[in-house]
Amino acid sequence: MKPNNNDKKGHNLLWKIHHWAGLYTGIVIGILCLTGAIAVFIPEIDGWIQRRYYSVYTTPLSAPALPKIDNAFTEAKKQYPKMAGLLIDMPDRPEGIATFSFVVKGKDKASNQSYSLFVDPVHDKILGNRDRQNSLANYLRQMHVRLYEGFWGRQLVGLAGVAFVVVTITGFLIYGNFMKKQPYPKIRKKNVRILMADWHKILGISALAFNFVIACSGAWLGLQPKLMQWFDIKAPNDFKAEVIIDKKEDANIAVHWNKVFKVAKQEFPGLKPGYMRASEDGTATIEIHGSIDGQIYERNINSLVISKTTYKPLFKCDISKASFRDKFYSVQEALHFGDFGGLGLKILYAVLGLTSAFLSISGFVVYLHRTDKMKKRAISPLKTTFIYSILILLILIIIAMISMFIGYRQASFIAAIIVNGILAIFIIYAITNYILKKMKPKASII
Amino acid sequence: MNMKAFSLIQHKLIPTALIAGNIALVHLIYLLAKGDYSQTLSATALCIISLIIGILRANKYFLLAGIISYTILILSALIFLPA
Repeated sequence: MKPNNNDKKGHNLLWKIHHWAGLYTGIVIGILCLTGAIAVFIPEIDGWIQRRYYSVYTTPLSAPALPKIDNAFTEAKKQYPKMAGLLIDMPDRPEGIATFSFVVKGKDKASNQSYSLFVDPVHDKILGNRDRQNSLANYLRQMHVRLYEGFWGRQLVGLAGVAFVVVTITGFLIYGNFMKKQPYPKIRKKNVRILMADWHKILGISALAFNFVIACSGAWLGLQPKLMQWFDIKAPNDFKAEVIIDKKEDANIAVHWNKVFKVAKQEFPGLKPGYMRASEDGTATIEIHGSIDGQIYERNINSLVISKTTYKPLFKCDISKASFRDKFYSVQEALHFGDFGGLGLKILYAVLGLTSAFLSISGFVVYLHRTDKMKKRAISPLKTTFIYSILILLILIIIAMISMFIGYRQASFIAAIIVNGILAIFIIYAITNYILKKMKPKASII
Repeated sequence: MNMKAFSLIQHKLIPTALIAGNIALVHLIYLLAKGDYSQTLSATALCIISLIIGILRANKYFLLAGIISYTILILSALIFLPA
C-alpha cells in the first residue's frame, strides 16, 4: 500500500515542525536537560558539601523521637535579634541537618543581610553557617528553573518545555516514516550524518515517554506562576488566614518549635515536616509543610497550619484525601524531578536527561550536515557542534564560579545580559532573515 | 517477513513497547524504593521482561503480551490507588 499525497503532506508538515522547533529551541532544551540531569541530585550534592566543606554532622534521629530545635532557635535569636522571615528547613534523612534561613533587615533593601544557619536537630545546637544564595545547590536550581534570569527566565524555560512537547510528539509521529526498513535498534555507520541520525532516532524513541512527561511537567512548572495568575488557579495547600493582631505583636510571639513538632505528629501523624515558618503578618499562625513517605506528590505539598497562641490546628491539607484536580496538580513536580523513587530513580532520570541533551546535539549535527553543501561552511559540522557545546559549557561553568565565589547578584546580572542579549540577537536575526528571504527568494543569511 | 508485518512491529508495536517500558521501569524502581514487595512488583517485572524480549527479538506476541498486561496493571493500580 503506497502512502497517498495527503499522508506525505502531513508527514512533511510534522517533520518541518520537528525541524524548526528543534533547531530554534534545541540549545535551551539541551541546557535544561543537562542542568536537570545534575539538578536531580541537589539534596545529595548539598548534603555532601555540608559534610565535606562545613563539617556539619549529627547522629541519626531514632524513629519515635522528635527533632528538637528550641535551644538552637533561642541561640540564633540571641545572635541575630533583628532576624525576620525565618524559614526552618527540616532534613529528609534521619542523619540530616536542619537550616534556619532568615534576613536581618538593614536601612534599605540593598543592605538586608540573608543568613543560613546549620542546626543539629538531634542535639539541638547551631553547627555553623553559610551564604545560601551563593551555594552550588542554589546555582543548579536557579539555572534549571530560570536560566539564572530573574525577570522572565522561568517563562522562557516554560516555553522551551512547550517546544520540547512539540518535538517529542512530532518525533513520535514521524518515527515510522524515517525508519522505513531499518529495524530497532540498528545503528548504521555509513557516515557521520547517518550515524548521528540513527542515534537520534533510536535514543529519541527509547526515551520518548520520559521526555514527554519531563516536557509536559516542565512546561507547566515554568509557566505555572503566570498560568495560575491568569486563570485564577489555587494551589491545594493555599490557605489565607485572617489578620487578628498587629504585625509587630505577631512577630514578637515566642514560638516553641519542639511543641510544634508534637502538635504536628498528633494532628497529622504521617507528615514528615519539610519546612516551617511562623507568621509575621498579624495572622498569628505557624505553617508546617511536609511530605508523606511513599507518595508521588510534590515535596512538602501536605500542610498543617496551627495557631501561634493556642497551637490548635486551623487548616490541614492532606493530598491523599484531595480531589483528582489537586492530586494532578501535586504530581507534576514529583514526576519532573523524580524524587519519589530513591537514588535509583534519580540515576535513571539523570541518564535519560543526558540522553535528551544528546538529542539536541545529534539533531544539530544532522541539520548542519544536511545544509552543509548548500551553505559551504568552512568548519565541519562536528567541529561546529563541538565548539558550540564547549562554549555553552564554559558559560555555565563561569556563571557557576561567579555565583559561588563572588556572589549570586553578580552571576544573575551576567546571566541576564547573556540570556536577554542572545534572545535579542536571535529575534533581530530571525526578522532580518525573514525580510531578506522575502526580498530575494533565494538569498538567505542562515 | 512481509512489509506490513514489519511495519506493524517496527513502527507501531516497538515504539509503544518502549513507551510502556519507560513507565514500567520507573514504576518498578518506585516499588523497590518503597519496599513494596507485593504481587504488583512481580507483575511489573514480568511485564518488563516480556517487553524487553519482544523488543530485542522483534516478537509480536511478546510485545503485545507486555503492552497489554502492563496497560491493565497500571490502569488497575491507578484505579485502586490507596493514596
